[in-house]
Order: sequence, then C-alpha cells, then structure tokens
Amino acid sequence: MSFHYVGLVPGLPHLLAPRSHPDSTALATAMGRMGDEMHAAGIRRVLYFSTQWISVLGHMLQARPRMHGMHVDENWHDLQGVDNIAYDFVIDTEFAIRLEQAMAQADFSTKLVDYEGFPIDTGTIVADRLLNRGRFKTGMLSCCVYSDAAETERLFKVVTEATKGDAVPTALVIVSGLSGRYFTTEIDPREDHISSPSDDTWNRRMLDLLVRQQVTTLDQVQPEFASQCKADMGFKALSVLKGVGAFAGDRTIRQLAYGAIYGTGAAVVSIF
Amino acid sequence: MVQILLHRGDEVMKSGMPKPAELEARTGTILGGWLAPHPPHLVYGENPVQNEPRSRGGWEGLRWAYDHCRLRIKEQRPDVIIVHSPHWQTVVGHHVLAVKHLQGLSVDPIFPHLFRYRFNLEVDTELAEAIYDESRQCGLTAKRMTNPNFRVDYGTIVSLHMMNPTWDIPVVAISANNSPYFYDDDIAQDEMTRLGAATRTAIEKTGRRAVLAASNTLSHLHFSREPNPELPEDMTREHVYSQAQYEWDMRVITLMRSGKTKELMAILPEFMRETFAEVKAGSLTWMLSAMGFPEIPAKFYGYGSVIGTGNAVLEWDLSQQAPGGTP
Repeated sequence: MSFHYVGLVPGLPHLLAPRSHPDSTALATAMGRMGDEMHAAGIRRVLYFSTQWISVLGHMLQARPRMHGMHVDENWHDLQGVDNIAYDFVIDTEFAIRLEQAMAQADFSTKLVDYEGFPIDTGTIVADRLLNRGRFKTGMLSCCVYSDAAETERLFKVVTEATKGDAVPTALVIVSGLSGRYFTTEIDPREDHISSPSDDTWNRRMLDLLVRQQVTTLDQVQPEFASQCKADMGFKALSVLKGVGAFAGDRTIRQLAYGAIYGTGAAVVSIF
Repeated sequence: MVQILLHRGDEVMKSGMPKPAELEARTGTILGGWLAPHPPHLVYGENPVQNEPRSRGGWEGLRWAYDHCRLRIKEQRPDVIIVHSPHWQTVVGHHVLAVKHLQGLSVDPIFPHLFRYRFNLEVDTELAEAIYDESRQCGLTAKRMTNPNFRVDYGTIVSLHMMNPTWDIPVVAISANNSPYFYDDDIAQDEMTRLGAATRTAIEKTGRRAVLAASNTLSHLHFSREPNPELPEDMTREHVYSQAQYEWDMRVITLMRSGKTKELMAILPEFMRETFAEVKAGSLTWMLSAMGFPEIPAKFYGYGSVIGTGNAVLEWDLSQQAPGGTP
C-alpha cells in the first residue's frame, strides 16, 4: 500500500453543527483525532474520494491551485450554524496531473477541472474542515456513478501505483456513509438514530468484518448490504479499499467511531 | 456587459409585474406547461453572454425548438415561470426557492467545460410561500430555501434560460425530492401528483398567470465518454444511444401529441425502467398534475439527442381556457 494512511469518514454537514446529536459529535471528534494522527505520522497531502462528488463521463480530478469560498448545501441550506460553510483548499496540481496521466494511460476516461466557482461537494468540504485545519495539501478525485466494483478496484490500483515512490507522504480519505436511509421528514436532532434497526445491524456487521479484514466475506455480503440498506453509492468504499491494498495483511484497521447522521449510518475508520 | 444587460432586464420585469390589487382581483391560472429539457449543451451551443465557454454551435434542432417557447412567452406575458428541476435534489421534502433575488456563478459539476453561467434572477416569493404553504397543507414535507448565498442548479438555469433568455419574468424553482429513488414508483408519483395540485392551488390563490416547466430529459441512458473532448459540439458524433431508447421516446411523444395523458401516465413506470428516463425525478408528473392531467394534444417542437439522451420540447397550451389568457 503506497498510501501512508487511509481513512473512511462520513461527509454530512451535521458533523459541523454546533448543537447536534452525541453521535455526530463523536464522529466529528474522531475525525479531528484522525487528522492529528495523520499529521503526527508525517502526512503532508490528502487525496479525497467523496461519493458526493459524482461524475458520469469518467473520472474528474480537481486541478485548480486554490479553491476557497462559502458553500451552501442543496439539502441543508438552513442547518443551524452550518448554512454557510467556509472552505479553503490548497490543491497539489502537479499531483493531480500525475494521477490523471496514470489513469488515462490505463484507459480510464479522465478530466482535470480548473474552474472558478466549481461546486466542491459537501462531503469533501466537511471532511477537510474536520481533518485538515490547514495542515495538508489536497487532491480530489470524483466518484463515477457508472464505475462498477471491478473498475473502481482497478482504478485505485492505478492510483496507488502512481503514488509509489512519491516523496510526499500521502493519505487517501474516502468520504462515504454506510446505510443510506435518511429520515424523509424533519426530525429533532436530539432524537437522531439509525432509521432502521436492520440497517444498524448491517452496519455493525460490515464494520466488524472490515476491522477483522474478512475481505472474502465482505465481498460476498456487499451486494446484499447495498440493496438492503440503500448503502451510500452501493458501498463502493469497499472496492476502493481493495484497490489500495488495505487488506494486504500488514495494516491495522480500526473503527474510531460509529453512529447515526439523520438516520443514515456513519463510521470513522482508519487503515494505517 | 453582463451586468448592464441583466440590470435592464430587471427594470423591464419590475415595470411588467402586476400590482397586488390586480392580483387580488383575479383567480390565478396556468397558461400552459412545457417539457423543457436542460442539457447544458443547449446553452453552450447558443453562446449567451452569461455563459463563459464559447462554442461553434451545435444541437440546433433542440435549441431552435425553444424559439417557439420564447415566442409564446413573449405573447402570453405570464406573471411567473415555475420550474421543477431534477438537478436540485433534496432528501427531506420538496424545497422551494424563496429568496427575492439570487445571483452568482453556477458551474455544472458534470460539464464544467460547457456551463459556467452567471445567473441573476428574481423569485416570486409570494407565490413560493404559497406553494410551500399549500404543499404542507396537503401533507407533504416542504421547505423554503431562504439562503441568499444559494447556488442555483444548472437544470433550473438551463430550462429557464432556454425559455426566456432575457430573464424579465419572475421565477419559482422547486426541487426534486428524491422519493422516486427512495420509495417505489407509486409512492413517488403520488408525492409529485400532490405537489402539482398544491402548486395549482397556490397559483389560483395568488392570482398568478403562470407557465410551468418540467425540466426533464426523456430517455436518459448516455455515452460513458464524451465523444470528442476536443470539440464537444461535434455533431458527427452525436446520435441516439440506442434504437430501443429512441423507439421508447417516440412512443411517449406520440402519446403526448395525441393527448392520451392517462395512457402516458400508465406507461411512465415502464418507460423509466427501460430507458432510465429522467421523468422519474417527477417533474413531468408534477406539471401534468398541476394542469389537471389535460387530455389535450401537446404541440411538438423538436427532438434531439445530447450525448445520447433523448430530449424533446413540447407545449401543453391551456391559454384558451384561461381567463384573461392569450387565445
């Protein structure tokens, strides 16, 4: 595994809300701790792969050197305290170009994006706010909705290969939820919970398999998890983890937090 | 240059808006509804001053189909255009733009090289509030979008630009709640039907003369790669995705043209499944419901492919039934 650190984190804005459910607070705290751990490990660059940055004509890579401004989420535009989310990214453009070239050589359809006002997704912004705090350069790779499990795994093998020998210690952060069954009506944030007991059971089972690195079983149950629990982007995160070699046997996978965000399942997991 | 043009548009709009007393004196009505697809390629092909990228044209069949809509809007002079957009996706309820003035830069996250549009629009907030109220009255979860920093989605902007590029008529935009993707089709279409009824009641109560826009593509399977990245408007590379998808589109358009709305509604679920049709997002059902599922022939103005998807511009003209409407 050539990424020095891999994280799986949620990316809903509730994590930044000043008054939220204890689950959100615990998840946000764990993400802050993950950022500190990455910093202590000498990480200087983070590549984000967020299921909320979707693309349909292949994969995109952010290549604008600096992206800063105020973000308003299309769903949570009135969420108290986080209706306007400030962001400031320093993008490692050379890294983005290098990844794009490697992906194109491997016959992936790719595009570098360098546009004022490009809408960075909420997941990447939320994750960066909690993890980074100005410490790491960044990169962003989109999530192509038509890229299936096999293609996603192959993509991340290519990306991993392209980072080998890189002098800049780099982390990959997958921004994705687990079960995706939102509450569809307004709820009191203090009463947030996983919206279905069955989803809760499934989430816990998947996390247990993940931590014990039971990749064969994970492969077997992933389709059922995806369909039963409306898993975020079909739990494509598993294919990413396989692609970067997270289950190669020389890594420790830890669950740092688990909880609910507006009915969905969310976890903070580190692979180090 | 953009600012000057848009400012002039604002003045035209204010002078043309009905006074509150006029509105109170009349029952609102829907003049008509449009199937108003929103590929950003259409704005890109037109090269309006608001959009930064430049093109050599392209997709004229669809772009020129919108000329009929532009002409009708100039003739009808509606008080408001209401659009339902699949690219403003919300998970908790149906959201309605309810900020008086919105402006900014809207960059399409899928086609940023084609669509970077400086929008500047006026919202009919009284009607927006009424749609919100009526939606809640009929048991729907609804929200007002009151954040002035909100970035309006490209689906809303493309449909509205293609219908009325001078932006001199106030608008209301409604989000596409993701219930069609969350529940089964029956529940989802029922939600959109109720939202349409709520919209109609709000229009009537506020006295507006409204034009509706369902910002929907028809068949939605598309190429997985841009056919010619060096020249996106290369029309030698544009074609229908598949014969099966094309035939489905023609079947649906034929029902629309012959006014067989009940039959149309009956086959929509199969159409959605077979062609991944974007009407699943609910815009068409919302619009037809607001218009009372009219069994009148829709006027067809054009059909065309955009990266393989099927798009058509059609009008349901209710203006002859409308008190004070243009015959």
